[in-house]
Amino acid sequence: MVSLGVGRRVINSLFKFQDQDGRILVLRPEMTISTCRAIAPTLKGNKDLPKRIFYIANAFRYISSGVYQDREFWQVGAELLGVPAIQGELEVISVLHDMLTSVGLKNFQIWIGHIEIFKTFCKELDITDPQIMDQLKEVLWRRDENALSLLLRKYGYSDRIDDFRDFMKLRGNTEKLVDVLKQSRIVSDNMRKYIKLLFNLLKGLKENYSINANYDLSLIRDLEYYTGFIFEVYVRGLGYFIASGGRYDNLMRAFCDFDIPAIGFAINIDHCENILRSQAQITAKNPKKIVVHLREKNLLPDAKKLVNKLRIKYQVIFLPRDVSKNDVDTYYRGKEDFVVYELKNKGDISRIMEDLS
Amino acid sequence: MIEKILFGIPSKGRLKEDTIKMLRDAGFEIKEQKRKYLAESNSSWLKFIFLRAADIPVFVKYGALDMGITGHDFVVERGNDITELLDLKYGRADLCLGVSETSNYKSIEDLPNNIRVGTEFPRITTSYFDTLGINAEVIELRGSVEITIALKLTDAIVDLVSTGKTFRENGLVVIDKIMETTARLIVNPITFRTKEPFIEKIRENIAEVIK
Repeated sequence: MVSLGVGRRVINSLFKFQDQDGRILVLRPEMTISTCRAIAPTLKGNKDLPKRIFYIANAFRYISSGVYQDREFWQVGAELLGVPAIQGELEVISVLHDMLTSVGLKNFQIWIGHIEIFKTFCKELDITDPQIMDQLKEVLWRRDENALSLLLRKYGYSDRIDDFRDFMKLRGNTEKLVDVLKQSRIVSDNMRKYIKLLFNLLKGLKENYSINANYDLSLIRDLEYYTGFIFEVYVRGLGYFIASGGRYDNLMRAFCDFDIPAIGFAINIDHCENILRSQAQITAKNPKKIVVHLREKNLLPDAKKLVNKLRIKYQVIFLPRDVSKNDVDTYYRGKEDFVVYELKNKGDISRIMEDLS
Repeated sequence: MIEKILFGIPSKGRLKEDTIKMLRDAGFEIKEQKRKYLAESNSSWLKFIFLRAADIPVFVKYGALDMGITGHDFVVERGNDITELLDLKYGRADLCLGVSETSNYKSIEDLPNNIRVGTEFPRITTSYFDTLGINAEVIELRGSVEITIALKLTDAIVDLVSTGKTFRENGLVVIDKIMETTARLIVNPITFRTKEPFIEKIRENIAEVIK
C-alpha cells in the first residue's frame, strides 16, 4: 500500500521487511499516502470538504552510507483536500512560502512544473510507453542532454531528440513563460492549455502573495501519484531540495469511493535546519550567546516573539522579570561569552534587532 | 561560501594529471598544496576538492559537491540522479569481464550459474549478469582485483582495461566488454538550476578545450 504510486525511484529506496506470514512490510518513505489512508474513513462525502491537515513525522529512505544525510528524516507537511486547481495551489504554495520565511530561511526559490505538459508533449510525439516515459522524466529532470540522446536513439526516436532538447530548455520566470506561449515551435494547442494554467498560477502567486516563483517544464520526476502541478523548493547554492509537493487528484480514490482533488507539500526538517545553521553562520556578526532580560511584564508576548526570532541565529537565554538585575550583572554582564539586553519598552526590541543586524 | 562552486577532482593517478592539465587549458588554475584536500583556484568563486574518483559521484549526488570530474564507469556505478554535462574524451578504458587464460570459460556462453565474480563495480556487474540470466555471486573488492582469480577467491573479474598490460601480466584474458568509459564533467541537477551561470561558464570553457 505504501508503494502505491510513489514511483520507481522511491520504491528502490524502500526499507523492506518480511513478516511471519511472508508479507512484505516497509518503513514509510513519505507521509502523503499514510495521511490519505488515515483521513479517508472519516470523510462521508463532499460536505466534509475542504479538509486541511498537517503532520510532523519521520520517514525512511535508503541513502548510500558515507554521506551526510540521514536515512531517517523528519518532515513537516500539509495536505489540502477538496480544493481544485489553481485555488488550492495558491493556498498551499503561499502557506509553504510563509512557513519557510517565518523560520528565517533566505534565498530560497520555488520552481513549478506540470506533469500534463510533459505527457501531452510525449503523446504528440507518439511516445506512449510508460517505461520509456519514466526514463525520459528522469533524464529531463537531470537535464542530461547526452543521456537524453542515448535514450531516444535506443528506442528508435532519433528524430525527436531536438524536440526534447528544446523542451528541456523551457524554464524561467513568468515573463519568459509569455514568450514560450507565443513563440516556442514545440508548444501545441493542447500543451498551451496547461501552460496557461501554469502562467495563471505564477501570476496569481505574484499578484496576490508577492511570491516570485519560477517554472521548469522538466520538473516532472519524483512521486508518480502527482496529476498536475509539481513544485520543489531549492536554496541557492545547495544541491538538494528542502521542500516539494504537488497535486494528486486520483490518489484518494484508492482509499474511498470517490475522487477528491488534493494537493500538499512536505518540508524536510533536517535539511531546513542544516541550511538555517549555515545561513546563520554566514550572516551572524557576533557568535556570542544573547541574554534577553525582561524588565516590563506587559512586554512578555513581544519578548517571546523576539526570542523565537533570535533563536534561529543565536543561542539565546531568556530571563523572566523575576530574575533580579543583580543576578544578571553577577552571572552575565561583562562576561566574554554573553551580550546582555534589557527589555524595558517596545523601543528596545527594534534597538536589539538593529544592533544584531 | 554559499556562492562558491565546489568542484571535485580525482586525487591521484593519470586521471588527476589529465584533469588538472585540461582545467588549466580551460583557464582554471588549481593552487594545490601538499596533503590538503581543498585547493583554491584563480577564480574567487571556484574551489577544488581532491577526492577518490569513485567517491566524486556520491558527493555530487547528495549535494556535498556542486560538480566534478570522474569516470563514466563510476557515474553509472554510484551516481544515479546526477547529470553528465560533457564527455571529456580522456581517461578512456573498457570495463571488461576477465578470466584466467587457462580457464575453460572461452566465451560468455561457457559461464556457469553461481559463478564468483570479483569487482570494484558490484552494481554494474550484478546488472550485467542479470541481463545474461546467470546467477552470480558478486564479491566487492577495493583494488588488486586481478590477483583474486589466482588466489582462488573468484572465478572471473570485472575490471577496467586500458592498455591490457595488467591483465596480461596476471595471466588473464578478456571474454566480454561490458562498457566503455571516459572522464566526464558531472553536476548535481539542483545546483545546475540554482547556480546555472557559474556552471554554464565552466561548461563552455571546458567544451572549448575538448572540441
